[in-house]
Amino acid sequence: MSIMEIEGVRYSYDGRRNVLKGVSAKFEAGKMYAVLGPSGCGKTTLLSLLGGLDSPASGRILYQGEDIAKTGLAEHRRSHVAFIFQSYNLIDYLTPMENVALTSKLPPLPILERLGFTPEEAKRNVLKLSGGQQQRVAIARALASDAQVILADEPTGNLDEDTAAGITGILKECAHKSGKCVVIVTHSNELAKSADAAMRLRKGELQISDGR
Amino acid sequence: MSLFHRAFLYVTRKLTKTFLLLLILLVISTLALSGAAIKDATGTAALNVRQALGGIFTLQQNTSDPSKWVSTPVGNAGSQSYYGGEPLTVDLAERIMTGAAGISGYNATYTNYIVPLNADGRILELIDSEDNGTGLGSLMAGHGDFNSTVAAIAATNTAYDSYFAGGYIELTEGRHFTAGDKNPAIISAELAELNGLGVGSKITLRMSEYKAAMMGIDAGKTKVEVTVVGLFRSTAKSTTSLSNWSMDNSIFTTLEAVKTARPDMGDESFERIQFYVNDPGEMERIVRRVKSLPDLDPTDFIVTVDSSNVDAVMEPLTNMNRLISILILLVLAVGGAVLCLVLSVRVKERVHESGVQLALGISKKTIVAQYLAEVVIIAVLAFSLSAFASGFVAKTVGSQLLNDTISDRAQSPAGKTPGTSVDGETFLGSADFAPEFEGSSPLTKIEVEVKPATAAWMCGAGFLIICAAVMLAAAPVLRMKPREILSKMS
Repeated sequence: MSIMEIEGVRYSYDGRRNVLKGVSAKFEAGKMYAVLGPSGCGKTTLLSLLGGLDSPASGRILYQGEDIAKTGLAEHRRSHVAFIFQSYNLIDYLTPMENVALTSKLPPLPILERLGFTPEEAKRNVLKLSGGQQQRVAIARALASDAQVILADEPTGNLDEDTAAGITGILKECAHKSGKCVVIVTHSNELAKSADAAMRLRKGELQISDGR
Repeated sequence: MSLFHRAFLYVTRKLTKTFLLLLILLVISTLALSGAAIKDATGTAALNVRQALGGIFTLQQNTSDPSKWVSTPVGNAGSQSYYGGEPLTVDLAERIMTGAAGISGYNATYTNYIVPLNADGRILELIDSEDNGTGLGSLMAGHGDFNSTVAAIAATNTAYDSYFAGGYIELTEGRHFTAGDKNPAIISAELAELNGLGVGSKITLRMSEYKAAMMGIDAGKTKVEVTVVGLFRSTAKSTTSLSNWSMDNSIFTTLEAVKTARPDMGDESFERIQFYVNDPGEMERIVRRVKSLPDLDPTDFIVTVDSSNVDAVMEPLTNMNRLISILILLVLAVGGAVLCLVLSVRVKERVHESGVQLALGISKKTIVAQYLAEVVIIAVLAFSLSAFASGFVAKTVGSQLLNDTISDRAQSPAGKTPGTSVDGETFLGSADFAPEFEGSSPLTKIEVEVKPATAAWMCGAGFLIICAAVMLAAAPVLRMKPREILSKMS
């Protein structure tokens, strides 16, 4: 049973250049998906549409069978999805604990400790953390939310190989152990290999294949 | 995490930005609040002046009719002329009080010059003060005890005397007297101290021996003993034609006492009666009623509403009030614009943060509310600091401005009238020798302070400006789609 679904979604910039030409796909809970494709092919656009940051020109995006355009994009963002960005996008005047607590009522420290933070590190200024640590804070923020879908845009793009592998492992754990649906936009074939399913965007069309 | 918690964390952790905004808000609110305090002060001063000086009309004899003047021979020195029309009496004043409703009280005055003696019969030591440069002092040198004369101001109710009512002098000890008192006197506390006198002390008044000899009068028979019932002190500096006729040497007493000491007054009565009306707005109606009273011959009297003192003070106060109002509006408008610009820069710098918050499902309204909460937190601090800062600014700058505005006018509460000319001769009244006070009525010298109501009003206005500035600054973010913001971020 899919948790999210896209049906015949079209999207174009300024009504001219079509980046998505009626793509359809289904996303299930407990699985990690990788979306691959060359730069500018519309991967991030697809992620934005799934996350309710933008609306398609036509087609529908369903969350648990309901059109998110009808339930409200802000509500969809607030309740159903959580984002992880390539550049971490943490609020720079908040500590890791406060970043995690931004939209969550759960105690942030256990989540951060699960991701390898000490209590001292959890109270530091986020700008004083390494890239890998910042990305782990972003993941903790996503985990702390009630969202069933985690949308990650190049989450390992700025990280070294070892750290990237660590982050990939955490995301995989999110899908397999926490039962979340994780959709990752990436250029990394290594990451795509770790995914349960890979989707390739080419010339506005989506090809779905087994990740392995 | 609530938006207020986020706002508090932003304010306390982005200290440079917080300090800059605090400084801007502090300057704007201090200027606006100081202006409002000065405006309040000018308003209060204007109200005081209008109430204290604006509600007075004066009844004087119509000395312009030559047929009403009487000339009497004076010893071998020539003749003396005085007005012989219907005299200004207490009875007349009472008739007017009864006939025209709306008058709260009156005081009839007459001033002449007498020599004051202490219980030992010695002339009182007088306070030396500067004259107003008429040269009368040197002219009178060598005129015997004439240089020891002081002004004896006859009054029927000193509480309504123009010097007291105008705030130029104030009672510091004892009480005021009325026409019913038997030979009372009010003298300056300074004169009393110089001569070891106090409330209850006796003073003898008599005619100047020099003047009496000229008129063939035995000065020894003009003595009248008065009792000090009150002491006053001047609230402003004053000058007179003769140093010894200064305010601090003057003695307030009754007409009977003055007439005993100056028998040469003959049938002369009061020089003027000043009536105080309850509501200055009713002045025109009351004056019209007085002029039409059946038992008053309109040709015998002149009723004047002297607004010169009021105008002299009111005009600069009104101008100042107008100027301050414009300045306040200017400060608020320019301050609002500066605030809007600064907040716009802040919002632009925080597009990234806004995008992240939107992606996390925080609504645009909540994001703008957080911006507003941050500015309000800083504004509360700025307004609190400005309450102290503006108190200081308003006190120093405001007092200086007010004093500069209204200090270039000399005031004569006695109400001078132009010299009366009869058959080519010019007659001067006692008011022409009356003390002139520097500056305006001391009633305008009020404390410039920030009143709680003014502060509250300014806080309200400040809050509205902040709301408008935040909304304007945040408008570009409010218009943008979350995806656009995230695009800008990347």
